[in-house]
Amino acid sequence: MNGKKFFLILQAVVCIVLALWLAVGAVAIWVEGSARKAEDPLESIYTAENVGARLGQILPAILLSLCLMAAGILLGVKDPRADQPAGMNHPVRLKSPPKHQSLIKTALVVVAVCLILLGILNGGAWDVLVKGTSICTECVGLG
Amino acid sequence: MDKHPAGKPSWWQAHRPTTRRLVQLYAALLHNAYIKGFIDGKIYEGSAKALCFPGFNCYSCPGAVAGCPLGSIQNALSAMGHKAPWYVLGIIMLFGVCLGRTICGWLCPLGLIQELLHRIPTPKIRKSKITRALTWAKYVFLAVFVLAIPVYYGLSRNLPVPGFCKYICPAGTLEGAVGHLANPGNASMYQLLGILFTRKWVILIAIGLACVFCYRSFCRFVCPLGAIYGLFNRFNIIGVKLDPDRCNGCGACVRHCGMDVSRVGDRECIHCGACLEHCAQGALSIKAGKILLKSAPLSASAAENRTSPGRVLWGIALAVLCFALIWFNFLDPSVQKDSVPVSAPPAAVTETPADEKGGSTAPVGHDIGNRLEDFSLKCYDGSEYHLADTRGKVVFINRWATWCTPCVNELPYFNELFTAHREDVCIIAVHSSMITQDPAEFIAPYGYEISFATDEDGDPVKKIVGGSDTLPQTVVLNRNGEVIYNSEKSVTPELLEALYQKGTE
Repeated sequence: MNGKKFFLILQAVVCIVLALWLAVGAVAIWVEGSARKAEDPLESIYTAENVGARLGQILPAILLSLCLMAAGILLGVKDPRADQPAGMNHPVRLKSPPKHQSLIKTALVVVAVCLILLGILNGGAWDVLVKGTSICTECVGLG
Repeated sequence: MDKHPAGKPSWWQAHRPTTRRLVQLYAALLHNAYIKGFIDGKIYEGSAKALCFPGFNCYSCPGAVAGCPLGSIQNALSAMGHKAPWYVLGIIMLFGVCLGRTICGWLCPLGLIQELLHRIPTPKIRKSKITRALTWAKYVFLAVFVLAIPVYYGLSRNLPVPGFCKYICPAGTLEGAVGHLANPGNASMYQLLGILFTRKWVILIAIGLACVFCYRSFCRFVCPLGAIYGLFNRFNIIGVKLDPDRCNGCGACVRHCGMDVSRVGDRECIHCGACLEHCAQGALSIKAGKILLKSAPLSASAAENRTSPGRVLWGIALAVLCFALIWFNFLDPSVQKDSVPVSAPPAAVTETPADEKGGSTAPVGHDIGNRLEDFSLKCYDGSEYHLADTRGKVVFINRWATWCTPCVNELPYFNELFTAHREDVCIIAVHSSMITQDPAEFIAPYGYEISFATDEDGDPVKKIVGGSDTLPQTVVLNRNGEVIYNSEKSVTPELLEALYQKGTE
């Protein structure tokens, strides 16, 4: 195994371990927090403290990964196969553009503009504004 | 610096940002031009959010200045029962016809993040027939999470459930959730986190890891927005175009493409233009309608002679960016200057005489231990609600909205609490002043016994309870009218019962 290949595999392992650590860390916080919450509903599952403590444990792995990444980029290490063309040697079948393409494009633009105007009239734009100016905690995953 | 003596490209030549990368960075900054949001930990509340940007960018990101088309279409579909989703459909169609998946390749902030992750030097998974087959998965995500779930819950239960945002969207987790949690001022938001965040965090990590090894994994296999834009890819006005008279069908463009294309411009093509330099026939070019933006080389070696966008175009783009940064951060008159930040600093408490009816001498404010300032609201049943009249009871004030799923979900819990302790509790659900459908009409079928009212113009109740742009919010007062709980967290029956018990102590 040459040095470049070893480096790539090492970086891959670090990335996978880091990802697992981040995922398992969150699950562990949730399991511990849920047990606390079952006893006292006023308790929080996640706190800035327990998240900070977990991140502190992972910090060396994050730093190692960043150092490896920077070294790899500076040294120009990359998977040599990444730049090679895919092994698909069949010729490309050309597909003629749809008939009346310009007409279809124009019609689609006109329909889209009409829909937008209709939407503004029926309050659709206001609805987008209302949703956009408030944080829907469930939508972003906060809870 | 430019050229290595042996003709080998220098490090800078090999790593310098391409025109496309600069455009991606530019678009990401334009999507998130509200820099103040990252500092304050609150979102942009101006009228520009009535518009959608074409790219995948969560509108709950502290920097976002416009709506997310995917989030907007889900909310519009969930409201189909009372309003047709013309506006968002029109916007998505217009983006699709004008740009198609050129948006994915050049403008999408999530696309940029995926490409940067793929730059991490690791062994890479190459495209194959399997990855090509997996590209159909994004149509399943589109059908189930973007169409079926919002329409089902919207029509059957009148409940806004944006399925993709809630269960999968990595942009929401990264930009919306982590974007807020990373701000030290939002420490109170940690109490909101539970199973939903854990699940979405694991999904985010999995998608991020996949992108390290496999080029644009999310874009290729999951992204419903890319699936929609892909439908318009044959009609888009701006993108890579093929000259059939010059093409000899050698397939070099397809073999060198990172995406799972079967030919240039098909549903998977993101019009990144990487194929241009591999076409020896000069059959490929990037066109905007009839205007040729980039001339195609007649030979592969001529790739270096490609013309980049003119200085005038860059000048205009920079001027637009500068204007956007200044406008959204400092000048936009539609931004509420008096809104309370997400992590509201302790309200200016004022020492007041003892409350006339409860006898509490606590200072007026909205923090734990404070006495809430008095307010009155007209309820939907015609009665008047006066906070001062509730002394001696445990008071629950719930801020909600018809368009907020967790808010609607927790209303039955408040009603159950009321029916269990009706002599001893007073519950009022105050709808946000931002209304998309009549709240009285919305709640009528449920037969709730608790009081309902809408916050008046200027959001007086929101200000009194220290509310922010986050919903739902629950405030609990003990028998003396002192705040014992004030949180923007969803409640459960167990939590409400525990708060009731605490309020009676």
